[in-house]
Amino acid sequence: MADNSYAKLMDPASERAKRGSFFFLVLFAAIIFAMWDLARFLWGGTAVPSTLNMGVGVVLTALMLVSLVPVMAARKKLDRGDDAGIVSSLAALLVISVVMMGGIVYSWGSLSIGSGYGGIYDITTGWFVLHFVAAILAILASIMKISRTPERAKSERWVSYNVLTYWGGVVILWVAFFIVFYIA
Amino acid sequence: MATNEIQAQPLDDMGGDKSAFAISMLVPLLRATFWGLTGYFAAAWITAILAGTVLVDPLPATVGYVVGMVGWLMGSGLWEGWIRRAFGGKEAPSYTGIERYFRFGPDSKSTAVRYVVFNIVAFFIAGMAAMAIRVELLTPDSTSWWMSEIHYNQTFGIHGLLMLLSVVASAIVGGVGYYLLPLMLGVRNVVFPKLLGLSWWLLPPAFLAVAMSPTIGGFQTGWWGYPPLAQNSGSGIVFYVLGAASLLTASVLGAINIVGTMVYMRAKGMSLGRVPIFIWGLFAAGTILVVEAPATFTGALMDLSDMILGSHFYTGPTGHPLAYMDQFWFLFHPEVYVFILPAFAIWLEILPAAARRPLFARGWAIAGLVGVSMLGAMLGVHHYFTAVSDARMPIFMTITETVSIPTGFIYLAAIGTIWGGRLRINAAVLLVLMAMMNFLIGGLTGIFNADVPADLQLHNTYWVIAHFHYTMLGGVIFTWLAALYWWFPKVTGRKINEFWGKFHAWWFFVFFNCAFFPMFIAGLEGMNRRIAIYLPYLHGINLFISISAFLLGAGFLIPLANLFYSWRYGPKAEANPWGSNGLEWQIKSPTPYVPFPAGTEPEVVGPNDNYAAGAKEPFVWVSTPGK
Amino acid sequence: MNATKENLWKAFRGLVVVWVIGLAIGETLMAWGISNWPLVGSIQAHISADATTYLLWQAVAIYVLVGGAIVYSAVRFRASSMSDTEAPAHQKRTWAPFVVTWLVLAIGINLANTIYPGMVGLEQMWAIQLDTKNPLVIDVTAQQWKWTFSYPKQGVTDVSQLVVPEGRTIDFVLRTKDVMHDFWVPAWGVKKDVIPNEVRHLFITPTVLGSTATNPMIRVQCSLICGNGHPLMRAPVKVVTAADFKTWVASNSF
Repeated sequence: MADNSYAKLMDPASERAKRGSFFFLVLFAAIIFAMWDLARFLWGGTAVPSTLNMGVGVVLTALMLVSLVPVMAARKKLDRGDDAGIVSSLAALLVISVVMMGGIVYSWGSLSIGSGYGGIYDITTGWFVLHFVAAILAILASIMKISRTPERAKSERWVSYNVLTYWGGVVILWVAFFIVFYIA
Repeated sequence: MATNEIQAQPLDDMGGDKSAFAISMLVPLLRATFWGLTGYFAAAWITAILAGTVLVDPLPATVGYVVGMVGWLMGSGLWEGWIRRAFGGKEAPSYTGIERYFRFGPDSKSTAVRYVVFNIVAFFIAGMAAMAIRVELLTPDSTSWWMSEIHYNQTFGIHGLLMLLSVVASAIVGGVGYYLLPLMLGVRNVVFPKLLGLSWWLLPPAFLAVAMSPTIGGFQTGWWGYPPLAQNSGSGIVFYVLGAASLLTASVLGAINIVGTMVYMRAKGMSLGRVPIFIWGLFAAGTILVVEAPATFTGALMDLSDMILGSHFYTGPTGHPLAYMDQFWFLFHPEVYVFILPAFAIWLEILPAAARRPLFARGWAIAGLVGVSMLGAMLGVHHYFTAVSDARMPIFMTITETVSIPTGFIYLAAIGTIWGGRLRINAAVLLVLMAMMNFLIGGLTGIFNADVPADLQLHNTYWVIAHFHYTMLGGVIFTWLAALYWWFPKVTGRKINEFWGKFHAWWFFVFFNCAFFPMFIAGLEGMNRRIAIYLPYLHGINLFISISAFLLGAGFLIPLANLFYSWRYGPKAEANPWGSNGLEWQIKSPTPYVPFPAGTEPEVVGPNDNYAAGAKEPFVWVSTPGK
Repeated sequence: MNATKENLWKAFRGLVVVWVIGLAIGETLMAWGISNWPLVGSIQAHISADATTYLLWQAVAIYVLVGGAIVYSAVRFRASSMSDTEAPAHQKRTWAPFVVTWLVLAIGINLANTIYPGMVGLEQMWAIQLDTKNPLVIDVTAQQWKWTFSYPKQGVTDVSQLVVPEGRTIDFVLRTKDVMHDFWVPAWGVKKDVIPNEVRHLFITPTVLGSTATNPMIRVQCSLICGNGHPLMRAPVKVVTAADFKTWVASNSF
């Protein structure tokens, strides 16, 4: 039946491999967002509709940039081997995710999906919503793993690193989105 | 320690669970099916009620598919195998015996075998669709007694999409590739084993959705899904998009594993110059997927959005349908290189071992694989020269023609390897030689489509159908069969029946050429693609093609029987029946659950294609206690 | 060592014989095929057919050279059985003369193809477009699933048969009312997609008199999947003399 004696043996990737290969996944996601950023000009022209709430956009972007603070703090803690210490940072990211999703849904109300700009805005931010949902799940998993099985979290620290890398990637992609959709 | 001494080590404890097959092992598969179907219908029905529409409308079908997929994945063992553990729950059980084939798991070998089985099933079902198409084309107008125009259009769309995304996209890259990737690199598993395991489980629901799309109205667009026809020719288009997106996602998850494992996890001493050529082929394919798949994901999602969310990316007076073509072909042109580059690499992996010569001009071969991969990204426009402005024609014509140069390097290496060698020709090698001849025609006829003056006549005619069947069926599938025969002993410990292998190879070659070569002529004679009804002057040639196609199709029962029978009753093979210097052949056959036993790792000390008499062994076994 | 080398040159001589025979057979078959070429009914079709036939000569030659080398070497250098595992004497990993020759030929053929028939063919087609002083303008409307033609200057509106004079350059203005279609007359050698929300132009100079009744290649055939009516989305065509065209216009215009 089930036998766990081979589990570790059959997952031979080093931490370097697990963290390095994750970048290919991030690259893939980044290119999708790049495609949508480019598409903004084909469908949305270069003007920003007046109904779009610039204030909300600025607040959300500021929130994303601010979120890098707990990310960097968590990273330092991981480097020191302090897994439990990152839980508070992760919880902060969790809250920020929910706020971001709320802000996006609010912005949807101010645009029509059938219009050129509205369509490409909605689908790009919809893709961000998907990424925030994934972030919430990943962060929850990390928090629960650290609190329930600290030994496992310690031996698989690459997971925590990758979660932080993922968040950093989302921040960069959001800032790019903001520049393309709100300012350009 | 010499390579074959590793066989003498007591390896029974590394082989995993030896229990025989029991019906209870099917539980995860059955559970997944049950939860998947229940999830689909429940979600679709609830969505239909809330939206005030019917079950078969696009929005309920979309929501149903997503929920059904989640249910299927949960039932397959994803929960106890990954998710529960990720959230701090109980350790995931590892199944090391036969039951691992029927559930989600991180073992790359069982994942690969599942890919092979899936590809075979998909090939037969998509092949039946092809038979239906050729019955329709037996006479100029069979719509009154066989398929109506609507059914015919649905059928070729399903045939194309399933053959491309659920057969050739994963046949060599997935089935053969995921099995050999860790073994050839000298590691026990890939970089993200659970992600790789997940990739297979995305395939069956996608396949089912596309195959069943006629039940919700089908789609008339063929495998391209071009808007605005996509939005007004049947709700089945949502299954087209969701199925294609799921199949592509599976490919991308595999590609990340290929690229990551190759970059970070090579065995000690394996410099890039010593990486087996098949891995280079997989790597070239993987990089294409990671970089180019995004464009098509965006196009597919926007096509879907126009259908279910009311956006107007491609529809209506403000839509830009041409943009879809740009997005679609940005991946789907290089995608054909995802199909063929691993096949090229298989030729170059098998021929040195069969001819007992080093791979000739190895550096040029690698340059060819990587060169095609990089150039391939820029060629998409040649699929729609008839739609673009004049300004785009010269540049894409020039770049497209250039791709024949790196492609040629593969033939340079192959011919140089055979020349002066002692080529042992079993069924696998025979199929490789035939694949090379077929692809030669496929590749040469592609030049006509790259050349705009010729293409403006040949585009969307049966010339193109012949061209891509020569490359895909003639190149990729012939090679896939060769790979299945060549590595059969490694996976099963037995050999296939050589007589029937060679017999079918000739059957396949003769009837394949009989069925598809005349299509070049039909195209020149003015027969365009995707027509259920054609003019009487084309009757004779179509009759010939159809009969050849039926014989071609019937012939596939031979390798099916051969593979299945040999798996159970074939002659037992020794660990390295072909005398290959590849690392995968230096361990036991069939491959034990733990391929390189605990405490031992291979170290590369020389090239793996040195067959000169008295040559040093390329691998040594290093003791690594605690690993 | 010398014995091995001699064998290789001898083998190469055998390959050259295979090449000569193969080229003779292949190009003869090609010549026969080209003599049975379907109808070439316009200047553009000539350009397209010239490109295609040139590439066919070339493709047959390359197929014989490369394919012949594959088959010949597999037969000439085959082992006696799978258990014949003796390594061949020749174990070199590369041989510059072969590699360099291959490179030069590959790059050369490629460059040449880009120039002819590639750019030359395109330039010829564009030249017709640019040099035409007074093309006959025909508005083509595609819709699911029929073609309608209007001749604005001649005052002919919405006819379902395409009647054109021979020898005059025609500017087909292509529009669609619904989905994508493709306007193609097989005898005229070129086709063009018809895209929603856009207008496309296709320039044709018919050179052969005839009609769909005399040769099915002279027909309008939609050649981009557009729904279940796609196979039957055709229109009859008539290529007539200038005088007959005038008569037809007179009896069909307002």
